Amino acid sequence: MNYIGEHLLPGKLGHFFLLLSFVSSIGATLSYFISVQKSRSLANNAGAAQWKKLGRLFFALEVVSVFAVFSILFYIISNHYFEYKYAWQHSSRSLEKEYLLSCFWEGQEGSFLLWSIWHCVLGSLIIWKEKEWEGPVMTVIAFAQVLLATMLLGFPGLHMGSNPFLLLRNSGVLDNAPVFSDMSGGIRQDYLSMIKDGNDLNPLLQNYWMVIHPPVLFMGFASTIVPFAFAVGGLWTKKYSAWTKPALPWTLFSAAVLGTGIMMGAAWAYESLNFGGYWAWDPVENASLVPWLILVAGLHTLVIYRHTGNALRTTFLFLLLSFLFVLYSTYLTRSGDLQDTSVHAFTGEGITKWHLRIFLLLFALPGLGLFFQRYKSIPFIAKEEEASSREFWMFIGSLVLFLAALLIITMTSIPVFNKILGLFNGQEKTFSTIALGEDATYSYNRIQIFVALILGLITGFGMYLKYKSTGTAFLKKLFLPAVIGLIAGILVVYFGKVNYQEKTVGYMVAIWAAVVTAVFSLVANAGYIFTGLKTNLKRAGGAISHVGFTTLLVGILISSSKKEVLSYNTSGIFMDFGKGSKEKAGENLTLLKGVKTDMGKFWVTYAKDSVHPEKPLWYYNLRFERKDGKENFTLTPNAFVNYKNQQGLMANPSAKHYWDYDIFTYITSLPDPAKNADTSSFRTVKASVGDTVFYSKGFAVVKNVQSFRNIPNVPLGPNDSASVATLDIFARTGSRYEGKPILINKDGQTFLQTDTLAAESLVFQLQKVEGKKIELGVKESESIMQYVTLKAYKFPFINLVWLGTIITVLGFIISLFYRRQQGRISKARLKIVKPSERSVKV
Amino acid sequence: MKKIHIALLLLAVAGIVGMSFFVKDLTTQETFSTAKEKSGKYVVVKTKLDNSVPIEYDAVKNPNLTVFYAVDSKGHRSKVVYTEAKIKDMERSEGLDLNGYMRDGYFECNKIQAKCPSKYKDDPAQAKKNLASGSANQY
Repeated sequence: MNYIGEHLLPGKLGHFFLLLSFVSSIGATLSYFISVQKSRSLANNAGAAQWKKLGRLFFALEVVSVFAVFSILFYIISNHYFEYKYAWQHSSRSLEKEYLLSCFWEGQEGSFLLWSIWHCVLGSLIIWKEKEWEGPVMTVIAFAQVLLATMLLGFPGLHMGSNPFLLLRNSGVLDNAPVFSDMSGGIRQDYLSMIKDGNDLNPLLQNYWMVIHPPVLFMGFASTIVPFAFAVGGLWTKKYSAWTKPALPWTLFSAAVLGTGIMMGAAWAYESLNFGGYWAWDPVENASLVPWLILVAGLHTLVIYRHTGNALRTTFLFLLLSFLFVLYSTYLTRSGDLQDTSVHAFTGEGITKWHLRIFLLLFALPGLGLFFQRYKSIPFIAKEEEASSREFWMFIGSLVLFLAALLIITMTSIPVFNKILGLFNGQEKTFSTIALGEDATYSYNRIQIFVALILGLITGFGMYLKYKSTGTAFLKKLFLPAVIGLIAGILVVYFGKVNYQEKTVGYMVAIWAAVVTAVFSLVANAGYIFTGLKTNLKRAGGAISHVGFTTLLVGILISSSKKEVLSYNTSGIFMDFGKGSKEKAGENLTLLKGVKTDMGKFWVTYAKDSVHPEKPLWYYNLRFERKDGKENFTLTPNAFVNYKNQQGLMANPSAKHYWDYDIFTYITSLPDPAKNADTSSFRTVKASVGDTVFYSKGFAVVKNVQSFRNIPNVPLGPNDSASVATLDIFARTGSRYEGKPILINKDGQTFLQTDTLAAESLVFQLQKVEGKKIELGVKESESIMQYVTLKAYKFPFINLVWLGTIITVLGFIISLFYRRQQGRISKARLKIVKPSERSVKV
Repeated sequence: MKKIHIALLLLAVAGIVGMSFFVKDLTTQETFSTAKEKSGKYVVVKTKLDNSVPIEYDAVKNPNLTVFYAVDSKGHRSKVVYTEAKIKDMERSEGLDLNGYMRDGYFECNKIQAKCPSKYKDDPAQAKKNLASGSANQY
C-alpha cells in the first residue's frame, strides 16, 4: 500500500549506506588484519602493502557511508519527516535550529552514530599521520566500526540493533491507536496528515551546553580507542616499545578531549539540572570519569617509560583498561541496568543489553588475553627505582589514580552486582539487594578526599625530582615553594573559614589537609615553571596541567565544603520526627507573589513572571536584596510547565555570578495549574461591627462599615449607594492585614468589588449592608495564590573549578604539541642514523 | 622486598580500608514489613504509588513535606512522609524507590528515585499515550 505524503527515498538510501558501512568496515578489518599478519612474517611479507591499500580503500568507503548516514538522518530531522520514528520521537517543528543536532544524541542510535563518526575522523587522521602503525591501529578501529554498525543495522528477525531509519508506521507506536487504523485494521493511507508535530526534544537537552557537550564527550570516548589500538598493536606485532612514541600525543589528545567533555557535562548539570551542583557522583558521571582517571594514570606511566624504560607493563594495562572501561561504562549507562540509580535519561530501549555486553567482551577478551599471553615477554627493568627518582613517585601517583578509579567504578556497579547475585537467588533470597546508603555523596567523598590529598602532595614535590636519581640538591629548590605553599594553604583554610562540620572531625581535618596540599602543589608547580623550566612554556605542559588540576581540586574542595543553603525554611511548620531523626529545616522555601520573604542574608521577592512565546516555558523574576542594602539583583530561573502532556515542571536554575561565589537558585514546585480552575465558592457570614469572622488560617474583625459617595469616574445617582467594610485580619502567622471589600448599588444593579489578600489566599466580598449589620462573603482559594517554591544555594569559588579545568586542558594541549614536535625531531635524526628501534635491556 | 612492593602493599591496605568504608555505607532493599524489623536503619523500599489517595503537598503551608501512600512489592501499604518538595510527575510514576527509615506507622524518606514515564521518552507505551491524546500539537 502507498501512504500519502511519505518520503521513502531518504530512508532507503540511509539503509543502503548502513549496509555499506557494515560491509566496508568488515572489509577494512580483514584487509588490515591480513596486511599486519603478512608484514609480520619476514619471509613472506609480499602482498602486505597491497592488503593495506585495500584496507584504506574499504575504510574510505566506510567514512563515506557513515557520513552519508549521518547527513541523511540530519536531512530527515531538519525537514520534519515525521514518517520516520527518529524524527518524530526526538524533534518538533518548533525546535530551534541550533538544537536540531541535539536530536542525534537524545536517542541511542544517534549517539552510536556520533561515536562512529568520530572513529571515522580519527581513523582518517591515523591513515594520514601514523603510517608506521596504520595497520594494527586501523584493524582495531575498523573492528570497532563493525560492532558499531551492528548497533544500527536492525537485522530483520533478530532482536539486534536499532535502525534509525525505521518508519513510524512500522515501529508499533501507531498500532494500538484506533485513530490511525482503517476499516481493515491496518494503518490509514493518510495517517501522516494526522501527525502534525513530533514529540520534541527533551527540554533538559534544550540548552546550549547540550549542543556542545555530547560531541566533545563522544570524541573523548572515541579517542580512547587510539591508545588502546596502539597498545594492542605493540603486543600483536611484538614491537613492545616503538608504539609508545606515537601513542603519547594521542593519549594526551584523548585526556584533553575527554576531560573537557566531562567538565562540560558538569557545567551543563550546574546550569540546567537540579541536583544543586556540578557533580553528584551520579553513575553516568562516574562512568565517564573512570576511563579518564585510568587514561591519565596510563599517560603518566607512558611518560615514565619514555624517559626511563620503566613501567611498560603497567602502561599496557592502563591504556588497554581505559578503553575497556569506556565500553563497560557504555554498557552500564545505556543498557538500562542503571535505570534505578541514575538521574540521566537513558534506557535499554532499542539496543539490547546483550549487544552492549558482547561489544565489551569482544574487545576485553582479545585485548586482555593478548596482554597476559605476552606479559612475560614485555621488557622490564629489574633494577628498582631510586626513592628519590621522579618516576618512582609518578608511578605511585598513577597507582593512586588507578585505585581511585577502581573504587569509584565498584561503587557505581552496585546494580550490576545485584544482577549477578540475583542469578544465584533461588526461591529463598540468599542475597539481599544492596544499595548505597543515606549519604551517597559522602560515601564517595570521604574516600576520594584522601586521593586528593595524596595527589596534591605527590604532584607538588614530584616535579622537583629528576628522572633516575635526584640526590639532595632538589631539596633546596623545593624549600621556598614548599614554605610559601604551606603558608598559603593554611591562610586559605583559616581565612576561607573552611569549617565543614556536618560530618566527623576527622573528615574536616582531611579537608583541611587536602586544601593545604593542593595549594602547596599549585604553588610548587607554578614555581617549577619558572625555576625548573626557566619559563620555557613549550616544555611546561605537565607543570601547567598540574597547576590546573590543583586549582580544580581547590575549587572542588572549597565550593563543596562551603556550599551554603540560603533557602532554609524558617517559616514552615515542622513535623517532629522523633528521636534519631536527622531532620533539619527543609531546603525548600515558598515565595508568594509580591511578598518580600526572609532568606538568609537576603530579602527575596517573587516580582513577576513571563512566558516564552512558543513554548510552555515560564520565567520567574525573583528580586534579591541584600539585607544590608549593599546590592540588588534579579534571578530568573525558568521551568517548563506541563510540557507535552507531562504533569509538573522541568526547571532550569539561574545563577548570579561573582568572581568569588555564585548565588544559585531553582524552582522545585509551582501551584498545580489543574487546581487553577477556581471551584471554591463564597461562604456567606452574617456579622455586625466588632464581630469576628474566622477562616482556616486566622480570623478577621469587622472594624467598621461606611457609606461613601465619591467614587472617581463613577457618578452616583440619588438612589445609588456605596459602602465599604474595613476588616482587620489577623493571620495565624502573626501578620496583620487590612481588607476593604466594597459594595456598590447603581441603577438597580449590584457591583461587588472584592478584596483579595494573596498572602493568605483569602477573598472578601461585601454582599449586603443593613446599618451596622453586614453579610460578608469569604472565600479561600488556591487559585488566587501565585507562588514559587525554590531552593537557593551559595557556591563559593566555583569559578576555580572552571578555571582549573581550562588550565589542565591547556597543559595537555601544550604537551601534545611538544611531544609531537619531539617525535618529528627524532624521526629526522633517525633518517640520518640507521633506523633502529629503541629497545630496553631486559 | 622492594620499595615498590611496600608501596603496593600500603595502597592495597588503603584500598581495603576504602572498600570497608564503602561496604559499611551500604544498605539493603527491604519491604515495609522487613523494614519495620529494622526500624532505625536507613533502607530502600521499592514501591508503587497508591493512586487512590491524593498526594498531600501544600507548598504554602510547608514546602518540605509531602505525604502519600505507597504499596510495596508484597502488596503492603504504608503512609510515606517525604521531607522534600513533591517530585514532578509523581502521580504517573511507574515506581518509587523510597530511601529512608521506617518509623512508627509511617515511612520517613528523604530521597526518592522515581521511575517516571517522562524520564524515559524512548518508552513506546508512553509515546503512544502522547500520540493518542494529541498532545504533540498542544503548543
